[in-house]
Amino acid sequence: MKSFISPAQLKSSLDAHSIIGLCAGGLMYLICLSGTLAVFADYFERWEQPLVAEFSHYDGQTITTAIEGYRQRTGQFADSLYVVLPSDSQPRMHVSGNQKEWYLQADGSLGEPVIEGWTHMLRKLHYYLHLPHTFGLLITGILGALLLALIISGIVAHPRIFKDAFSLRLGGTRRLEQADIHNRLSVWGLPFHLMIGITGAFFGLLGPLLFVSAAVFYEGDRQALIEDIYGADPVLDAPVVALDIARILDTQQQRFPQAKPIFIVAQKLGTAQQFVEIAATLPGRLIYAEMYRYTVDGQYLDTQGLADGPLGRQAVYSVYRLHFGHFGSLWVPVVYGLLGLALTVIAASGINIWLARRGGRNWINDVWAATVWGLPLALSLSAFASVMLGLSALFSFIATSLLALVFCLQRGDEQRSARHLKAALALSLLILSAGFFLHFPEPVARQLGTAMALILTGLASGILLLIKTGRPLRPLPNAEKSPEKSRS
Amino acid sequence: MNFLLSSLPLLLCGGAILALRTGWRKPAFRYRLLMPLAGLLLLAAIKLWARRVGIEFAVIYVLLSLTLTACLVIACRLEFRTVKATAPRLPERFSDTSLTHKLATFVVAGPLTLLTACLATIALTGLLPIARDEQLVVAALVYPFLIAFIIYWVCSSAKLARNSVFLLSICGASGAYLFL
Repeated sequence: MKSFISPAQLKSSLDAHSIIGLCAGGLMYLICLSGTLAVFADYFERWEQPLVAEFSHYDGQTITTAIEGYRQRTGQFADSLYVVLPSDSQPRMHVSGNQKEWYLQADGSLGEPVIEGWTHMLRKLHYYLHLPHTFGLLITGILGALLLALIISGIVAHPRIFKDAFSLRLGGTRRLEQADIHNRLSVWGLPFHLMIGITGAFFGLLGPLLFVSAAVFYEGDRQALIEDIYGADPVLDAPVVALDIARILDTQQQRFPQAKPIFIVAQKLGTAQQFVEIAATLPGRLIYAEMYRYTVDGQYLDTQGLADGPLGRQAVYSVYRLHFGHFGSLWVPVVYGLLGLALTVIAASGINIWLARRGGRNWINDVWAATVWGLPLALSLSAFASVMLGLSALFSFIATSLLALVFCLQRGDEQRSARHLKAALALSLLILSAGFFLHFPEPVARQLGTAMALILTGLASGILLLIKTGRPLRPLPNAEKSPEKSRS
Repeated sequence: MNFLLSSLPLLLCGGAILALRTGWRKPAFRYRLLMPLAGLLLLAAIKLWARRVGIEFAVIYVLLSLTLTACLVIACRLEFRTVKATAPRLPERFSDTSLTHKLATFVVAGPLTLLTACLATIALTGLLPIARDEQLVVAALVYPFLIAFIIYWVCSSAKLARNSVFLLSICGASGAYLFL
């Protein structure tokens, strides 16, 4: 079959693929790794605080008690007070508002506060890279766009990528082996990678787009623009009456029996503008939730139109669940996790191919070994430090990452460094699973601990297998003496 | 029975991948017939899943299942090469460029691309005959693609100065159209 692309175009596309991949390299790997783990964030949160009461039944009285408990604890109602209902992935309730958050007992009374621990650190890492929010979100959005650019350049630069779609050959040179892994995972994961790239870029790049659009079309009023897209809140001015959640839930059940509530928001309680929103998922719909609005005494007002409003609004509201795999049964996050891991391997193998192609070695090899194996180790050790020792998860993560970097640079042998980091990672995962039972000896925590221990032990075994089966590579000469350097 | 019904779409996806694998790049007519068969199996899987969970989830489930089953099929037919040394090679243009050129490429493919794509997207979607809020949603979905295409174009071309002028012109024209 005749190729429509000239050899010169192929070469320039391959150059572009290399350049974009190298620029995105480490950050792309970090985003993919943290995103793979963030899919399971709900489960990690439960594991982090295993003594919190878990239940799936609630009624109007539970929610009323929770809202009253919040008011008594903080001395006021929050402008927007959230009561998050039990779900399959997180069968526990919590109440939050004004940055204060508590888990609830089965009767609705406040339990232990929700800690901003390791899972919180993981989420922030994936969303913002722990940078200031606006800037961090922009960077992660740009990485989403770079993923799309890598997909485009990768397809154009590799005309055989679809021809060889079913052949995976390991062995031979490191470059060929890595290229085969990279290309096979890339081509079959293409729909997933596109989905993740587009939705990820959407989150991050919406900010600048809204900023400019508001300036052009709404005289700088961003709120007006957001209300145009997402729908506006109802504006009420009624006498202040008591909150009747039980009646609201009854009305909701009668009018919309197919909708499954996921959280309730009490807006502006105690004022003339007070109203209640019930966010609920709908069967067969990807939208995050439809918002059903009620007066506080249970009169139905309207919906926000997220499920049946303009098509664009529905599309925008479907992005979150699509990106994080928050739908369906437990199999969906598992598959998302596997494909996320594949994307992480693609990010790592891309740089590995570049390193193998250039021949020789220098400090970049060490930095890359520290990135690929040091970051998972840092995540594992920071989980231990945060959950078992009560230390700052972020500080532990940064400190371990830096230590791994210094270790690799000091060794100057990326293959041995990587082996040692892998071994340390396997060991830390085992310590993490064992440490949980020492830190939480209570019987109520045993089920969560056992499930997590099985997963962590499985991961540790996989890494040990990787060390055992990993073939010894030929030592590479220094990059300074490599043919490329001498040519240039 | 219920389990069988729920796993049927998964089996159909697996069948589609096996059909694709068997007929992949084989010229004989009987192998070529396997391609439409794979397509039919996929459509059947989507139809079955759509009845259970709705069309939105059905399409996603089929895409995810395809990827997983394809990876399984590939892993089952793994081959091993003999070790053979090959000369390492780097993309020449990248290794030969100066630091100034690399920085200039970064500025053009980075901030300039972001700004140009943003203004051009809003200007172009503003011309669509749909409501303003719909235009903005389309813009939000088009914007990442436009950035991706521009970055690819800038990085794959050797004419950085020409590309910069072109991007600056588009940026200026879009800005003028929007703000003046």
